[in-house]
This record gives sequence, structure tokens and C-alpha cells, in this order.
Amino acid sequence: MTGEILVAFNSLNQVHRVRRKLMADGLYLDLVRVPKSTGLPGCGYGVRLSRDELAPVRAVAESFGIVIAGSFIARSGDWTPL
Amino acid sequence: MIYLDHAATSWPKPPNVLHAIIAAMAEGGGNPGRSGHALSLRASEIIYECREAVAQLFGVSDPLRIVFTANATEALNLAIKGTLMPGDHAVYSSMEHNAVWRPLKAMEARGVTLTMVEAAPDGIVPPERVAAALRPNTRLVALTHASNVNGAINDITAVGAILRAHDALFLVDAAQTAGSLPIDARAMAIDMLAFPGHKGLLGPQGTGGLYIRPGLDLVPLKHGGTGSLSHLAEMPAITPDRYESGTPNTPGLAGLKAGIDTVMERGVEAIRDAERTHIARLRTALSNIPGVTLHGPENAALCAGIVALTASGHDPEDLASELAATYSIACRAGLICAPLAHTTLGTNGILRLSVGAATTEDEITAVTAALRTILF
Repeated sequence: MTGEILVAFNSLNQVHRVRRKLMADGLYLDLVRVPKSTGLPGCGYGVRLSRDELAPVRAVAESFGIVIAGSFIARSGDWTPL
Repeated sequence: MIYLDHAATSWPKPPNVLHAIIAAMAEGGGNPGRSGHALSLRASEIIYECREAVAQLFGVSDPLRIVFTANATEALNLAIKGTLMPGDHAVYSSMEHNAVWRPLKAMEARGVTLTMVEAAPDGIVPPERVAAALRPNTRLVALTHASNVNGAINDITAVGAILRAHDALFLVDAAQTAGSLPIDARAMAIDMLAFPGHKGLLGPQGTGGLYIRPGLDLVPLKHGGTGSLSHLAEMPAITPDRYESGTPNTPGLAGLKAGIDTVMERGVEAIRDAERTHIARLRTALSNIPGVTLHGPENAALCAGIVALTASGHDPEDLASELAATYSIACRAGLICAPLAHTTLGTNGILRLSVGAATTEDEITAVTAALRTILF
């Protein structure tokens, strides 16, 4: 898991919108529940990805006007804000 | 059975709709947006896929602007009660269903003023009458795309063009046209579009929704859990979450997606052409029966898949009962939940024959023959 990135959104619907667009572009990302260890409040969902996939995720979210709730990197079994 | 009650709900549903519902319960039986396990995540995907399908059908670029509701009535209530405030003015037509009229009257009791635009005797609402009813404080114009009583189609594009130059929001009730008439929300300048899932879209009952154009914020009709921003006391500002409290109808929306797939495969224009042909045939054949009066546009091109008729000396309810009992023909009679329309049409109840994607020429021939036998 170390080095893996988690991009969290405020709504599962927003995750789907971004994820489906990326899938259409050939990038398949795992849909996940955001763990409490990120410190994000509420019940968030997000996608897990590698560092080089971060830019397209951010670009697609921005193009849709969707605000990313938080981006995290896995370090020593914990999620650290990017 | 010969089913001519598609304006109430379409039947039979395509086989893929039934299969999709069962598959959703088997493979996506979790509660969407509430957990992180596979069943829950799959359920949320099923719903999003339906959102995409609806958006594509109505020319909407952002699927998140599609809000799912239990039916068109709930969608209309959300649109009306979510936009009108005391002191606002709203415009509606004499052909509106109770799903529009009753919530508007409820808002009138809370300080909203109303103007009813009288439709022409054939049920079509002249756009210039809508324009004449507008006031500086008009917040909402609510108009049916096609009457549920006689199928009269309103020129939504013309009304939308009028409202582009006005601050009023345009709410369209597509209960009788979603899936059977082309609808492009953006091109028609529609701010809110209410649709049922179980009529022309061929999905199951218990499905429907409201398109809300980007930038438009409504007061939610319901408050509760959304599976998002759960630590807040207020409803999330995010659409569709803001308007979709509570566990959604995942199996129903799976069926609705399959229904829309069927509509898209066949093509809305092709479905429309078939229905128009049926209506033209029905009108021609029924108008030759002595004592029968047809209530609606003479030109089938101006009519959705509905024929409304009365027969001298016969109560419409009795006719519907006899058609069902003797000929196994299913249709509807009465006020059809739109009492204002009967003042416009000069009726006190009608017999409604409504066709759908599954209607055949033989069925049109059979109902015509049955009515001729009953009425001669």
C-alpha cells in the first residue's frame, strides 16, 4: 500500500462522475470508502491510484467543477495528506 | 389482454427490464452510498449508470443534475415547493395534472399568487397566452409537455424561447412524453424537467426524477441521510445528494436503465412515429362511429399517444368497464386526475385510450371494432 494515493470526494455520486470519465478514457480506478484515518469527516468515498494517475484525476474533477475533498498518500500504513 | 392504458403505466415491460431488476437485487443488493463493500458499491454504480442514461436521453451533459424520485409527482412537488416563496407568482395551464395543480394550490395557501392560462378548446396551450400571463415577480411557469387527458402537445420550445427573456423558471411535466417525444432540456430552455420512469421510459413503478439545470438550487423536499457529509446537520449542497435522502430504489433504477436502453435502441423518433400512426388510425376509425366525439387535436402530429372520447348516451366509466369485462381491453375513464382540463374540453370525464411502444396494429383494429359493437 505504501506510495499508493487516495483521492477523496464529498459524494459518491461525484466519484462516479469522475471515475466513469476516466474509465471511458481507459483509466480504471478502484472505488473505495475513505478510511477514518484520513481525518476526513463524514462518510466519504474516493478512488485509489498511483502517483502518475493523480494529474488526470484532478484534471477531470476540475473540468466538472467537482471539488476534491482531500488527497492522501499511504506512508507506513497510514494516510498522510499530500 | 389488449392494453391501451400506457398513459397510466406502460405494460408489458421489456424482458431486459425484468432481468435487470432481478440482477440488481442479486448482484447489487447492498445499500448504495452507505458502505464500502462490494454489494453497496455495485448498487451505487447501477444507480449512476441510470443517471447517465437519463441525462443522455434528455440532452443533459451532467448526470449529477438528474435527481431520482419515487415518481413524477414527487419530482413536480420538489420543483414547485423547492422554488416558490411567499410573494412569488406562478403560471400554469388549464391542462395540468393534479400533480402540478395541487402543489401549486398548496403554495397559494402560503402566499404564492397563481395565474391559470386557459388552453385552446383542443387542449393546446398557446405560447402567447403564457407570455401574456407573465409578471415581474413570476418565479415559475409549470406546463405539461402533453396532456394526460387528451394528449395535446404543447410547444415547449416556443414557451422556452419566451422565458429565456424572463427571470421565470420553466418547469416541464414530461409524464406523457418522456421516451416517446424527443426532449432536449438545454435546447428547449427547460430549467426543470419532471419525468416518470414507468411510462414511456418502460421502467418499473416507483421510479422517476427531476432534471435541475446547473446553477439552480432548490429547497429540498426531504431531509435525511444521503451517505455524504454525514457530520453536517444541513442537507449537503451537492446535487443530487441534496434532494435524495433515504435509501434509493436500486432495483427500480436498474429496471429504468434497462427500459431507457430499450427506448434508445428503438429510437424515440421511431417510437413516436409508431404511436402517431396508431393515434391517426384510432381517430379516423372512431370518428366514423355515430355519437362519438373526439376531444383533442385533429392532427395526430399534435397529439401524444392518447385519444380521448365521449359517446352520447354512454358514461365513459361504463364504456371502460364493458371494454374490460367483455373484450379484455384495458383503458381508463373519468377525470383522469386533471379536473381543470375538462372545463377546457367541455367534458365531465372521458374514455382514454393510450398507446405505447408495445401497441400493435391488430390491437387498434380490435378496440375500434369493440367500441363500434358497443355503441351501435
